[in-house]
Amino acid sequence: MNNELETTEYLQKLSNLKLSDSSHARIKSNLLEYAKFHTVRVAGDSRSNSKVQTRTSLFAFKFTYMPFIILFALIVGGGTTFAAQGAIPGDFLYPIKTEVNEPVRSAFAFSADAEANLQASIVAERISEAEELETEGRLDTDTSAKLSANLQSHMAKAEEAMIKSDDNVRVSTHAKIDLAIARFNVLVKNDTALAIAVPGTTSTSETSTVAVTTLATRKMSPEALRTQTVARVTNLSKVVTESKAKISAKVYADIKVKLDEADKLVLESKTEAELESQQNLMKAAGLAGEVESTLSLLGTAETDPNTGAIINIDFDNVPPKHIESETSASDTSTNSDSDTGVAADANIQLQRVEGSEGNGGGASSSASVDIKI
Amino acid sequence: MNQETLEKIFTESFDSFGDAIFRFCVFKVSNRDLAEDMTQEVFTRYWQYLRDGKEMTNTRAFLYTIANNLAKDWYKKKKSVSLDEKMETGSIPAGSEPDPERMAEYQEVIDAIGDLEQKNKEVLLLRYVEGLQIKDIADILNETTNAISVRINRATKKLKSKMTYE
Repeated sequence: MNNELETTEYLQKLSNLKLSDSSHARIKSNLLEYAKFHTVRVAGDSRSNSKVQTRTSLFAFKFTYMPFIILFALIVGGGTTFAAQGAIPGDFLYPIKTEVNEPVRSAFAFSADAEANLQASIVAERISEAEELETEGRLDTDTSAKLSANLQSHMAKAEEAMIKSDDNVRVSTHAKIDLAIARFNVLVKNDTALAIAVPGTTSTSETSTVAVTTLATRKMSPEALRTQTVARVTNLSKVVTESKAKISAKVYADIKVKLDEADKLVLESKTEAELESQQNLMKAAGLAGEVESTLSLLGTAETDPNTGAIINIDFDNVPPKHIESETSASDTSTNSDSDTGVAADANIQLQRVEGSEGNGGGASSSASVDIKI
Repeated sequence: MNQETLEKIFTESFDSFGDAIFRFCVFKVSNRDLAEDMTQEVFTRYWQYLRDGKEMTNTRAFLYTIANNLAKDWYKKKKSVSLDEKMETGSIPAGSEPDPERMAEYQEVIDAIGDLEQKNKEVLLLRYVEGLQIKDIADILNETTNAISVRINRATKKLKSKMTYE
């Protein structure tokens, strides 16, 4: 008996192992489609001598790297995403830019430094969009509201990343955001319609002070931050308690909640690890900033030149911008209940918009509100 | 050559060698679904050559070479999963194979050669199942003809002794 022959015959049973008919048909049609899509290169085509493209599609990367390939394609290869990069609000591709491109870029910003930088760039990008819209005369209240909400969320993210980032990066990111805010203020100043829609940005000295001080807190050492935050919160509590009679109950309650929360955060921060403690202090500072901006809308605030904290409020002297933004409620400087009630509504809405993005320093500089009168 | 002619060559190649390449891939990756994907990828790359107007003398050997390279890439990424484990779980025949009797046959053969080393299995496949020449096998696997001859010889003996023993 020929053993060898038997063995090989035995092996030949395997030759019946075939692609099933359905698989055969499926693969064949896939391949044909592929061939039609990647047509023959004509002679003289500069690419025809180029290296054959390897890692074409289906197999090599399929198992572990596919998600990255998709992301990569979105960044590098996607014509759509590339085209979307220049889009401004109202454009067809704009959602791609904000919902796809930016999160993808963020996903690739692996370090805190890169993330902080990126977020600051996105903030600047939002401002550029606003400027572009303004030039084209398309900047309406709705769009500006969306823009500023988006901008604030990126500011908050930048801030979050900055806590962990390198000192140099922190400084440069601050510079970027400061510049962006300055540009936004210029923009707002030139557009009265927008100014009405965005009371927080009405470039009153108070609100910019708040913006600047809140930004400034990020550059401080933990100790200085603590001292300053404690001073601001204490001052505010004092001012608010003193002015209780002059503020409507609704506004007072709202402010009180914030101050209590800030107080709690400051207290907690004493016993926490450095990172958390700093985060909480910044949250507290953010809350203080919100209260300050609310107060500055109700009356003329007197601020401490050193800390930027509000030390007194002149409720008889409402800032002109506030009146402008509440046209029918003008002369609200008197403390009749109904009038302050209107102001209270507006302010509470303002606070909600700001509150939604945490301790974003630019909150008070760009929150947008539809004021109901 | 124009698109239609090449497409015709392309699909004919797939009809002729698709199954052989698929078997080779099954041997390499021990998983039917994977092997199907891999087969498709092999032919995708083959098209890349065709469309560039590159000439090839031996399409079949060329396809095996691509498959072999793909499998190498795959192993690099999949080092952690043991091939034997996969074999033991019987993952090879899983799939849409309609005929259980035939499936049992494959499984039997695969079990019989299951203990052999990967490189022994593949030469047996190429030599006796696909009927390739030693020289072609050597080209595909990037070895000398001598090494391949020795390997086939040893693998055959091992398989034989295993079968006699059983």
